[in-house]
Amino acid sequence: MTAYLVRRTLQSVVLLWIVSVAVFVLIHTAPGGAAVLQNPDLSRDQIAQFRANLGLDAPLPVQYVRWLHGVLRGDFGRSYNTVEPVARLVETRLPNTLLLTGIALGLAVLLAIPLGVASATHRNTPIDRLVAVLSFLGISTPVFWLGIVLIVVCSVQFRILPAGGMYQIGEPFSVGDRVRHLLMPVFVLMTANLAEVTRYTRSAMIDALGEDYVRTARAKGLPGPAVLFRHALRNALIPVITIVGVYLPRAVSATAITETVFSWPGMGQLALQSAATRDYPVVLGTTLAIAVFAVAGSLLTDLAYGYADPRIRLG
Amino acid sequence: MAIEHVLADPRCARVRFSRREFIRMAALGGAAAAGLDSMLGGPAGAWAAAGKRGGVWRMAIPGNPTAYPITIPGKLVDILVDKTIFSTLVKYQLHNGTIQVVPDLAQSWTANADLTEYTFRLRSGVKWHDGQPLTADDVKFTLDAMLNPKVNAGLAGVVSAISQTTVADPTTVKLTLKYPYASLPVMLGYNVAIVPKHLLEGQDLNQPVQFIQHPVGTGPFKFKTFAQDSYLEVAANPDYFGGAPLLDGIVFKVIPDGNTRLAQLEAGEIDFTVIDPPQAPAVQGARGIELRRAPQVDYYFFAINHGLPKFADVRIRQALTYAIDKQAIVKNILKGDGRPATGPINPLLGAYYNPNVETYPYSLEKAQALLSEAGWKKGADGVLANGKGEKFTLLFNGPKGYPVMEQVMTYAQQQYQKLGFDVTLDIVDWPVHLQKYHDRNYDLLMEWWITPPDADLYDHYYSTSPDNWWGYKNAVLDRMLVKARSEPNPQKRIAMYHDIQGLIAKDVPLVYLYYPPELQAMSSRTQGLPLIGYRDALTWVSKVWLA
Repeated sequence: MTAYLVRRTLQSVVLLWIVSVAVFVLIHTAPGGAAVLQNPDLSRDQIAQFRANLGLDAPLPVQYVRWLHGVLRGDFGRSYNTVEPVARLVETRLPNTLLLTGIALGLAVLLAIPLGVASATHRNTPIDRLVAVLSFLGISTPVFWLGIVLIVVCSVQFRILPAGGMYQIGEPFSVGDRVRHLLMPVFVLMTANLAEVTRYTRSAMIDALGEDYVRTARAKGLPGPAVLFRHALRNALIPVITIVGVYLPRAVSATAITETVFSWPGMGQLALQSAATRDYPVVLGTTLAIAVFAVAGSLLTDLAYGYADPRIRLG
Repeated sequence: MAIEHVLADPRCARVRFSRREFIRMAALGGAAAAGLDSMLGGPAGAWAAAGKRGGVWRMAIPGNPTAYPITIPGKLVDILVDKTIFSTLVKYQLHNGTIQVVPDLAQSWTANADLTEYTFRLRSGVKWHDGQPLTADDVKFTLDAMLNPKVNAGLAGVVSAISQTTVADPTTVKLTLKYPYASLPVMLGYNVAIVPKHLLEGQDLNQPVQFIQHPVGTGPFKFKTFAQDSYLEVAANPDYFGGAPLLDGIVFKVIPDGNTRLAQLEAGEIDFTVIDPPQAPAVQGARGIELRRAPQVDYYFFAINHGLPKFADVRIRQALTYAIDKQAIVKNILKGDGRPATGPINPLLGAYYNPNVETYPYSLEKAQALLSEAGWKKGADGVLANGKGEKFTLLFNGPKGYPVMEQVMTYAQQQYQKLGFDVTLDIVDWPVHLQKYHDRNYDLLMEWWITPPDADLYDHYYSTSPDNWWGYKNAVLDRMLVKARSEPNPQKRIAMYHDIQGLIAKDVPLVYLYYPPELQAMSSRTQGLPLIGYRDALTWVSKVWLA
């Protein structure tokens, strides 16, 4: 097992290095330069001067080596847009996004499994159809629309929830306040996740329930719930683990729209804004952070497989 | 009063119960009411320092601010926050519909006969937020920093006329200029915030980490806290030289999405935001919110790429202008918010604005006739072609994400197509749009300028100016621009700028479109904010109070 983990870690480091090179080349060759230099109030001479001051006039490989050199010393550079160190930007935003996605994903999985199981066992009954319709709605509803509608209804119309932000400004920390601010964005993020995981659980359960060992278990005389949970569900969970594993990297980046609508200071917004304004150091920082999560997610998923399915031998 | 209490209830009803009660009783009493009336509606009107003390004013900003005025980024949100924390030598005041320059840190100033040397006398007794006194050394430090090529000073262009700054005594600064320049005092008010030498000397001015985390200025508000990407809070500076602010503090809330900003305003969670024209109907009828149309010194235009020989003939440029019905744009696309533009000088500049210039009233026939005279006739396929058979194509660039601009461009495309131009719209991401603007990778391009309230057009219109984005070259205009900026007598200068506007109107360097106001949505409880673009309104934020 240790050899396996060591090998995977080394592979991950190489992968991250490749990702950094690819992203570096892509963002520098994308049309449009750093927005901070393209203020129309700057004259041509000034722009040339500032480009030189920022080191953007050196050839790409030189720029990359300088950046890599800094990274190996722990210095990810500073944002062009706010002069903040990139490491600190990512450090402060990451927990905000993880809070949001962690709760959303956790709730989604907690609700999806029973719903999926219920749909599978009551296939083609009204319950199943209701869950199917709700899933369809959940997957198809655009996040930005749902977010704004919730804000208009809950914050503007009925004034029961705050219209965005993480906490009430000026107030001391209170769990109640944080929860009130989390309710809408978590709900919005959860709808898509919930819908997907429900559908996957449902089909995985249907497959599992059709297997021979289930028939054997029933024939043995095991009661319904025991068959369901001790035998079928465990096997049905394997595809579900795959899906959740895929969600992990999305957990730090796919929240851009929700975060923008709810003014949530998170990674998704940071990644989006820095890409739109070609804030190169920040784009590299956020992409690497997302890559780390992707790599870690894939490793965790594989480990979870090894645990859930005794037939799988890791290494 | 602690800021915390006030923020707990956005409608602030409970907190100021006692004050409201008092005023209500006083009003019933009558005598006090009369006093209140004269306070609020005195002869100075909106500028009277009337009103109650207390309360926190909340303003929405679209991104993270960096409260440091010297270097890029120099984003709009930075400038807005800087207006409350820092002061400039002079500032702008709206008076009878025109903008005037009034003293701020500088009490008075004089110039020598040929406008190559200026002497500014600073107010005495001004203190930095940390208690240290402001001196002429701070002014010299700031200007030297901005003119230092190693410092990425975004506004260096504004003070580029200065060749040397000397400190004559602790309250007197002498500026020696490279050339005679009448507009220097006005330009010094354009976001040239003065920073403290004692806190920045010896630091890397491109990244003064300590200072950015805790900026110190001389403005009406002191920096209090910054929660990354959530908000920046400033608290009143009771020792402000312009008089202690009426507000207790200001919170700049970071709200990236335009719809959310409006929702928060409607929910009572913020007091002020700038909105886009499509959002105006939503604000119009809303309770507790006021829609303000604040004039600002700006103009919208179609840039013409003068590097291309096909635009060399003035008749073509005139035709491009004749084909656009500016009145219709203002009425139908801007819904009445704006005035058709006659040139690059905005009516807010008062006497400097010349309305009596060639205006090209809408006429497709005249446009077609001019094109014909210039040798461009519609071919069998309906596209304009010249004698050599070349077709007239127009690559028309614009930025994505500005619905009003896209509507104007779509309208213009239709009009130009009627004339026979082969128009391709190139609506791209903001950074790409700016890149193409710099690299002159366009035929026509829609843009705007928000400028200092000064008539000097040298930077954008002089042939060899590094800020002349369109490659426009006109030797006669060049001479007029240099003469006008060096003229010490204001009456003569006004006449010169009138002539300049006349020449520009005849030669059509750009297709001038409209002067739009800034649309502001504000809570009704906000009082005392001057009706002018918020970049300038915020310099008077010490006079804002909450009803």
